[in-house]
Amino acid sequence: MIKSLLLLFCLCSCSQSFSQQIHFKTKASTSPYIYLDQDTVEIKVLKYYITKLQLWKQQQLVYTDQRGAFLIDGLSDATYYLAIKKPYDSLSFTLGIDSAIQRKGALGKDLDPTNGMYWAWQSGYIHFKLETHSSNNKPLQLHIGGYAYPFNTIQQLGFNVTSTKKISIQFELLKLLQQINSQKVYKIMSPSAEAVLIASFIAQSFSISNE
Amino acid sequence: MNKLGCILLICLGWLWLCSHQSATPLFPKQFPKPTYDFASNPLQKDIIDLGRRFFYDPILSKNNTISCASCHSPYNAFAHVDHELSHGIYDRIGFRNAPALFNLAWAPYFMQDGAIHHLDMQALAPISDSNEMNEAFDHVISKINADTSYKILFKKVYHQPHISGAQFLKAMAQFLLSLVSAESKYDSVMRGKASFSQQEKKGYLLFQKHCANCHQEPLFTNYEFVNNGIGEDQHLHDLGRYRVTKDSNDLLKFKVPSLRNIEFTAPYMHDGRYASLKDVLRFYASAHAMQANTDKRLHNPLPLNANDQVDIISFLLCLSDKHFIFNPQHAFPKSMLKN
Repeated sequence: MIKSLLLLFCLCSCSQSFSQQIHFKTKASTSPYIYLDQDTVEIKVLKYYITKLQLWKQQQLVYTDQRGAFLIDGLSDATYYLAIKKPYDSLSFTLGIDSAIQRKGALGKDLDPTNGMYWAWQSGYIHFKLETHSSNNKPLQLHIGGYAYPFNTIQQLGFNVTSTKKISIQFELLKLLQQINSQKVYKIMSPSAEAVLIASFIAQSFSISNE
Repeated sequence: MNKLGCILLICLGWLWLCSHQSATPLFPKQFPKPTYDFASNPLQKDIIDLGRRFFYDPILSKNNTISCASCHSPYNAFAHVDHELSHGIYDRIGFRNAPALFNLAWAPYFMQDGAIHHLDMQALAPISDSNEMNEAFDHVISKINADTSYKILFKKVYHQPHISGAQFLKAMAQFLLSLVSAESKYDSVMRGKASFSQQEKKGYLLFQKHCANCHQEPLFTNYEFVNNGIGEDQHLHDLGRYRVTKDSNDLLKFKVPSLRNIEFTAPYMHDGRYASLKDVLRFYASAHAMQANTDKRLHNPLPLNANDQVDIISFLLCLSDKHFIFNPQHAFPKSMLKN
C-alpha cells in the first residue's frame, strides 16, 4: 500500500531545526528472493507497524513523533523525514500497536482494517506479517500479534546513534528466516507463546546504520 | 442582492444542519453509564441510517447473498429464530447460535467468548468468517465504493464519494448503538407505570433470588464469563472463552447473555441446544454432571419446582419489548427497494 511514503514535517518558524531522514530498509525491497540453505524463499507479504518513534539525548526525551503508526511495507522502501530541533544520540520505537491504540475502536489511514493487518475473529492488530513461498515447500504464514499478557508480542527497540546523517533502520530478513527455520514454526495466526518467541526474533533482526 | 444572498446562505446552512442532525444517544434513566465512548463516534442521524443500510445489505458477503440481518432479524430482537446454529453463505452452518443485538453500548466486549473488544470492530468477524459472509474486508469497501447509490449517500454524509474501512465500521457501530431496548413491561413496572400480575410478581421474586446474581438488573447480565454446566457440545467441541485466552480456567465459559427479549430469541444457549424456556428452566432445576470449573453458584440444582419454573417464565415474558421489536427505525430501510 505504501509505495514510497514521504512525509514531511512542515515547520513554520523553525530557526535551527534540520530535517532528518529515517529510512526503513529490507533486502526484500530490491529483490523478493532470498536464498537460505538449499531453499529459495520468495517473499509474498512483509508488513509491520512502527509506532512511538522517539529520539533521546543522554537518556532525556527530545522528540516524539506525533503521527502515530506507520505501516511499513518491506517489499518497498519507506523513508520518513522528521524535522528535529535538537541533537540526539539515540533512537527508539515500538514494533506493534499498544493496548492504548488497540482499545480506541476503528481507526483510519495506516491503522485502517482494510490494510489487512487486523484480525477479524479476535480483536487486535497484526503487528508483523510475513508470508513466503518456498522451493522446499515450507511456506511461511506468520501473523504476529497480541498486545496483552500472557501473549504480548509488542517489542520496544532502541539504538545508539553515532552520526545523525541519513539513518537507515535495516530489517535483516535472512537472520529472521534462519531463526525461524531452527524452530520449525511455519504458521502462526493468533496470539500464542510461539508468537511471543518469534516476536523476539523479529526484534533481534533490526539494526541501525548510516547510509 | 446582498440581502438575497444572506437569506440563501441561511437557508443553505439550515438545510445542512437538517441533513447532519446529531442524534442524542438513548440512555434509559435506569441504565448505568455506557461503556462505549460516544465522543469517539458521535451519533448522527444520517450516519445511523447509513449503518442501517449496511446492516441490511447482502453486498457485505462474497456472493452478495447474506446480510447481517440474515442471521439477526429485527423481529427476533436481532437473533436468528428457530436455528440452533445460524447458516450463512452457501447454506454453510455457523459455529454458534447468533446472539440477539441490543443495548450494545453497555457491553464491555462482544461475541459469546468475548473475542471482540470493541463494538466498532465487531462487523469484521462475520464478514470474514468462511461460514458467514466469507468476504475480505477491503473487498467489501471497494464494492460499496463502486456502487452508484452508495456514492450518492457518501457525498451527502461525508462530502466525498467513497469511504474508508474505519468510516464503514463506525457507521455500522452507530446503527448497532441505536438498538436500545428499555421499554418492556418490566421497565414500565419499575417506573411505576404498570404492575405485575400475581404470577409475574412471584416469578420476579424467584428470579431475584436464584437468577439475578448473573442476570443482573437492569441489563439482565453481569457480562461475566461463566461455565453454567451444560457441558461440551458433541459436534463442535466449542471450548468458549478458552479459545481466546488459552487459559484452562476459562474452559467452557461463555458470556452471560441478557435476558431482555428472551421470548423472541429461541433457541437458547451458545449452541442453541434448548428449544424453549421450559427446557432451560428444567436444566437449571435438575441435577446434572459437573465439570471441573462449573460455576459455584450452579453446583446444586436451583430449588425450583414445576410451578416456580412457570412463574419465572411468566416474569421473563415481562422483559419483551415490543416497541423495540417493531420499531420502524430498526427495520429494513424501504429506500433500498428502489435499487
